[in-house]
Amino acid sequence: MQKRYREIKQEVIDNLDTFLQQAKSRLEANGCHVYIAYSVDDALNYVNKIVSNGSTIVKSKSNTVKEIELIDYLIKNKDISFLDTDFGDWVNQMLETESVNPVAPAIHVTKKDVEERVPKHLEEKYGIKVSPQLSELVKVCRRMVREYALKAEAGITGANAIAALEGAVLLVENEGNQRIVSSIPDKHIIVAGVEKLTPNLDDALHVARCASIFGVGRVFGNYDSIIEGPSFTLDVEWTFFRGIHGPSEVHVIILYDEARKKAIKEGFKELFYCVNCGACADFCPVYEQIGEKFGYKYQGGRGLIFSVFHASLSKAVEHGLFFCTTCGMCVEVCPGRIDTPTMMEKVRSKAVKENLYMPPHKNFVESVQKYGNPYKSPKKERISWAEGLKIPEKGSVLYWVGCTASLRVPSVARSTIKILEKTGVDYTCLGEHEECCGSVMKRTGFGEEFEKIVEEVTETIRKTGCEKLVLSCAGCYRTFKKDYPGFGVEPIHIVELLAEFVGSGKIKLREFPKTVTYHDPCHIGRHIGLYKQPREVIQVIPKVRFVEMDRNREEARCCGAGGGVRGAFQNLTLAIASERINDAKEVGAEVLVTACPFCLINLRDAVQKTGSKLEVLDITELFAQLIV
Amino acid sequence: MADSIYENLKRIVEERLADKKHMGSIRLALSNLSTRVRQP
Repeated sequence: MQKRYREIKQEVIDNLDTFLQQAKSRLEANGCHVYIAYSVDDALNYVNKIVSNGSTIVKSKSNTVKEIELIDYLIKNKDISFLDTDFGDWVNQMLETESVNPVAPAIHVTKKDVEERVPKHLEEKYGIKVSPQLSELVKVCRRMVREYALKAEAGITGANAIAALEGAVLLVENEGNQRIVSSIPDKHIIVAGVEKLTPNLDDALHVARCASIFGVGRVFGNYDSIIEGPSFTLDVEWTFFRGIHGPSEVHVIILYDEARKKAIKEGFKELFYCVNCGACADFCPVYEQIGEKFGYKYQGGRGLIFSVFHASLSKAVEHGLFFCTTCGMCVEVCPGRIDTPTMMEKVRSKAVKENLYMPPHKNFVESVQKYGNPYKSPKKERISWAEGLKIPEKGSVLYWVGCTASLRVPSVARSTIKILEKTGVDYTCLGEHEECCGSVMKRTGFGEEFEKIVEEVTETIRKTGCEKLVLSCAGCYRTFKKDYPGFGVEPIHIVELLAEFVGSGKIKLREFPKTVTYHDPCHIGRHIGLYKQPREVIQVIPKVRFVEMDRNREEARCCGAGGGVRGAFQNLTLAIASERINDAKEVGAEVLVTACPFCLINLRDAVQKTGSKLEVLDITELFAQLIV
Repeated sequence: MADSIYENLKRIVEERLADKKHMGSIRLALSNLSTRVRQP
């Protein structure tokens, strides 16, 4: 389903001009007025011409209308009387609050709030007396929408899809307000971004299904309308007459502005694979903690990246561009599998070039440049984890320890060494010569500084002549695997090695009669796909009781440490990590095992914060304890 | 500029983490939606 959706969007975005012209001519042939707006002002001016002064306007939910601030413009310039008809938007209008979610705009308001405050507003502003019960308020909304629609000059909607071949606009909804807005007033104004185009109606229906499934978990919307043009009758002597029951005018405004063109040109075309289902925000660990404050007009990471183009780089930074942990949960739940983490890093690089960085991230970069690690630890301390150990000077396998295991959780490094020794791996380490892999720079937008690190580290590793690079850090592993092009040495995460040893019977383990769950680090989970190996190796431990958290593998909740968030927003990180601790508690785990020292310290901090008795272990620590 | 934006962002985080009512409502709604992406 995601594959087909992505293919449809890709085809459209790669051939926008063709589909745009086809849609325009088909819609016009069907009797619509079509206006291609090459700027937001163009779109506003067009609507300005078709809406009369002092008229009544009704609207259904539309992200593009919100993006271009059309309603504010019409209130200011045309003195319109206006009603938002979606119940969530209506509640927001009554309470004078802003939408917080593209699918459910008023989820921030409690039932109690609605029952207490909306009746007051209705009485003061509209002279409507109503008893303070949600059931009664729903009836008032229903009545108001009908009254407004009957006197409205125009109804404004967005579009879920515009089929170019047939010239048809597809609207998907659950409440039924969209049908009222699009059929009762004499003018129907449709405002949509050019990305809403689909090659044909079949594809449009697929898009609509995705919007519904990923938006609200229904196979289709409650109401799905296909609109090809104005209402007409031919009943008397085949005489053509427009506007019999539905609108006599249908205006389709397709926004193809500079923001969209620039984003596509600069390599951000995936932004326009969005169906506005809101799943990315709903499953985002950051949105879960700070809501709509993570976004500007459009919520979440993808929304913020788009805001760089439709607003500005500084607006994006001010609204939380650096809140994103780049965990990739949004990719998993997105019908278009929009690669927000990669675009996030790209756009952060643009921000850093404009000096719009987060100061703690700059400190990390300076520390890496001076000390070879982001923790401002003197270079000689890098090897302190190995005190008392005899590390071989040469070996075909290089164990890359990483900054966090070296300087914050040495037990991970020592445990890894114990596993390598016990299994007879021909290994060595770089000792004091090991430096930061640059992951922190890459994730926080210091792309140029990262490129220099890549060169230096690649050279250092090549000089050792090693064939394989073993890592216990998920962040370093992801970085070598994906961000070191042409590296030439095979990175292997310790969980892969453990799986190999367990499979070949090389490892013998003591009993561990405890209930254990596993936290997937994003950097080896969603970013790489190592889900099977850690589970396999934990489950072979004698007497272990392995349980899965509700959100696991692709759906695993991020610990909140990645993307520079732990460095810049500690309390946000801890709040996210505390959720993960709760996930483990809910399934009765006594031990939470992970495979990343950075996740480890973050989860341990959250255990301390929440006062939980959960034991958090790195997989290397667990195996070092049990290996015979 | 980066410093002032950063300070403001930290303030936003603190305010939101403390706003149990606003975020409580959002989180309740999100938990009700949590199974929806397990597609048919």
